[in-house]
Amino acid sequence: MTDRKETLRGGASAVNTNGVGADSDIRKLMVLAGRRQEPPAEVRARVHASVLNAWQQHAVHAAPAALDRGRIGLYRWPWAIAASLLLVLAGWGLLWSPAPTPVGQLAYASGGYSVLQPAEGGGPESQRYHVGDSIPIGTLAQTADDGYLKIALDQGASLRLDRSTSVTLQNNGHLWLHQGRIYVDSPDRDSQVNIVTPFASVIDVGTQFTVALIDGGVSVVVREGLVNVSLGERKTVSAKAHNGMGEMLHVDDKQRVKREPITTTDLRWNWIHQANTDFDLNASSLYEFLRWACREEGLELHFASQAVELAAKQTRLHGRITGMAPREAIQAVLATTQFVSQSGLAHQLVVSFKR
Amino acid sequence: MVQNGDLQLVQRVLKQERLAFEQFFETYFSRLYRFCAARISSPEACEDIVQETMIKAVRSLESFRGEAALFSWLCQICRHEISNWYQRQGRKVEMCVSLDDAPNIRAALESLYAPAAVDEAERLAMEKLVQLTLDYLPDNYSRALEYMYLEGMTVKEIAAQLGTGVIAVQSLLARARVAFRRGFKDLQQEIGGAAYDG
Repeated sequence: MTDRKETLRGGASAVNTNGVGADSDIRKLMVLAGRRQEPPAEVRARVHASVLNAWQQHAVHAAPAALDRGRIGLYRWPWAIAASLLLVLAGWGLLWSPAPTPVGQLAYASGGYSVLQPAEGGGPESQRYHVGDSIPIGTLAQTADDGYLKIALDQGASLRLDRSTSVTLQNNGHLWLHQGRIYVDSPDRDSQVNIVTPFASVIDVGTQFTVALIDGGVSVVVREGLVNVSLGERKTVSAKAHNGMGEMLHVDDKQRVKREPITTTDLRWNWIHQANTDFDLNASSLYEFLRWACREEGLELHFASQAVELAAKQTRLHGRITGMAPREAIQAVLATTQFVSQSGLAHQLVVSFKR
Repeated sequence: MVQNGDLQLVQRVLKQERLAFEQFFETYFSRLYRFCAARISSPEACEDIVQETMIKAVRSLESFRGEAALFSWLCQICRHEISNWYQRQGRKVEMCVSLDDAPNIRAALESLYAPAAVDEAERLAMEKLVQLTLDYLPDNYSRALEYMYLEGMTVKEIAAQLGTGVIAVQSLLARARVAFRRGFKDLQQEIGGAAYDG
């Protein structure tokens, strides 16, 4: 008999039922068995959407029945009073229940939107959130056809919602995209964002990208870095950006994949400026402003020399750029300084001293 | 393995608490999927069956009395759905092979005595048995065991992960080990554990 088989037999027969003694038996068995396999993310998303819908529909239909049962005779008054008291106590219980885990903060909002936590205890009112509020796990964020939102996730990434978009925020950068389009800026390679859609699951590897439910499928457009798109059954495709050239990847409901190049400065990125706060020039350096503006515009920032870079870090800014797109703001701000942008590659901004 | 937590969770779902629904789904979806996938080879059918199981469950949670663990109750619904699926396919349910359906597993375990590929078959059977035990344990028990033995976390790290204290985790792990040993032993005996004692 092989060593491994002896380990198996030893591991199994060593399990005792009195619950005492060392844990090496459990350790052996668990290491042998390994991790339990998780269902594909897109299956989870589809089943979740269906079951959630059924649960909500059931709740809606169950409510009238509950009202019918509420038409009670006078002889049931004591029970009704007792039930009311219980409801009051339950309300107090809810007040004392621990707050749900926060996942981020609502950083910007414009136009029509709702950011809410569905009501606990079946009450008609939901907990709504506004700009500056911390938002917890399970929050549903939606924009109307004129609305935009930006959410700063606690794990480091930020999320922008285009018009007519709906997402549910789960924990650890995990979110469901129900409809519309989102933009993710996830500069930290150590904290990934995972976006689950009915067609595919999208996981970033430190990048900027959009995910949209469109044309009966999902479109992923990468502006920087790399994203992996999981199609289930261990099938994963990637989209990446390099040297100013990004990639659009469309997956249809039959999981057919189409690719198309898209520049990092393409006009189709411009909607993201609508879902962001203006940069606060006051108390910022020129260097910080240029870094922000270039990231917004998909530009690589370069300085003509180390002296230029150092001077940019030491240059303090004042004033406002309200209403300007980042690219316009770059020119407006540079015009007030000793710096100038040189002509070069379309995806680069090279800054030097004015001559 | 009836848990008070099961009843509390069901009551909260019945009160239409969204977070409770998410907890219910997160806790049982993967386990039900594995339960079904062990019996149905088609991923599409498995998805449909698990979906139907969970939809029927949320529509009839009022009937859950806590007499059995919630997972066992869900498995009953799932078994029924699987049976319906086989009937629609014009096939007999007995054709599906699963570790915790005793007659089938006995046959599988008997095959362990076959001279060829015995190690691999035994390893797979053991792997499924361990994973099945974990699926039948309360979710916080199996998660705590996985954190400790598969991810190598310290008790302090598990406490941080679960949002609780070190003492509570030590107690949780102690209870989880006892439950695992009992559950594993029970399942082993149920499906013909003599094969492992040889």
